[in-house]
Amino acid sequence: MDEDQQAIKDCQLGKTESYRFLVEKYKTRAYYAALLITGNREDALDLSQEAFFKAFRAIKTFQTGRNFYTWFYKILKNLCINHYKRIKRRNIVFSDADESEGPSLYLSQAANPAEVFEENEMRDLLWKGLMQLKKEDREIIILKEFQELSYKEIAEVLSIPVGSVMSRLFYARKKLAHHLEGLS
Amino acid sequence: MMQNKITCEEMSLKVMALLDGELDDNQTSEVEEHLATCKKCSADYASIKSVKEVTGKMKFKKLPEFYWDDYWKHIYNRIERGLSWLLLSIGAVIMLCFLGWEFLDALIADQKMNPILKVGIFIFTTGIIILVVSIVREKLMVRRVDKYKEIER
Repeated sequence: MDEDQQAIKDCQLGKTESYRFLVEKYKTRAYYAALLITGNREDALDLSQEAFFKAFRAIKTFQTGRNFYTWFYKILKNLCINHYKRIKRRNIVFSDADESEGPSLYLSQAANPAEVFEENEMRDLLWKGLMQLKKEDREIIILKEFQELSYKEIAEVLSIPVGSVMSRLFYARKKLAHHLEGLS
Repeated sequence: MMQNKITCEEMSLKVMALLDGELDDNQTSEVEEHLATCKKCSADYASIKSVKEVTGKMKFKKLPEFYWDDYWKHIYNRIERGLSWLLLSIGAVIMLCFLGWEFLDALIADQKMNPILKVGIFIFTTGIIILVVSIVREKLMVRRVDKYKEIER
């Protein structure tokens, strides 16, 4: 049994301290996932911590053998969707081009690339390129490139087969390459 | 011709998998052999590689260290306080119910109070009870129909 599974088993027995191992291991990735969605440091911190809290409360439902982070990521994503809806209710405008298809989870136009990435000559170009993609394409690229998930993990997160992950990722990257070429 | 096209389409996904480090040694050799002879797949390889190079250069803005120092503490406190809040809430509900009952009992027993005022207080209290029940019911209903609730966690 690997370390994650052992820690989860301990948590299921009520050992709160074992949960610290999981939090320490995944907190950076969780924070960056939330940062990519909110584009705001404080919100990203709050949401990622809230997700860890909710995950602990639901840990008894976790099926042994599954991947902790992909399970946790779904909780985080739900929280971020609710966060997005709350912001919309407060009339802070998120004017994504594909708003008609539902909220764009990643990199809303309200977010500032300078809040998310370090200064880099390609940063703004990449940001614009990502903004030109459909939200599904943007999400799969972010899961791969910035969350560094494997094809299998992305398949779990998006509930689609690995073959579909590969195909969607391939075409999303081709589109991004095309946009980047056009922008530069 | 069709056979070649299908092979190339399948191969393009493997070309990407090669760049993502998702292939074993045999698959890697197979793709590398194909790349040496296929211009289309070589172009795909270069295109995806260029995207990966751009994304690979991006570095997330680092969070000041002191935020990380308290990160676990915040989560731990919330976990520990969960039970306290539950007990506090149950205790508060019991106390409020008792006080409400005592108040209404005293109100009915009070012979000196004007009956109109009694009726007013009674209607006001009933209104508050209905309002509280309605809010609780609404919260429970929203939870029941929440479309994200069923998402597997």
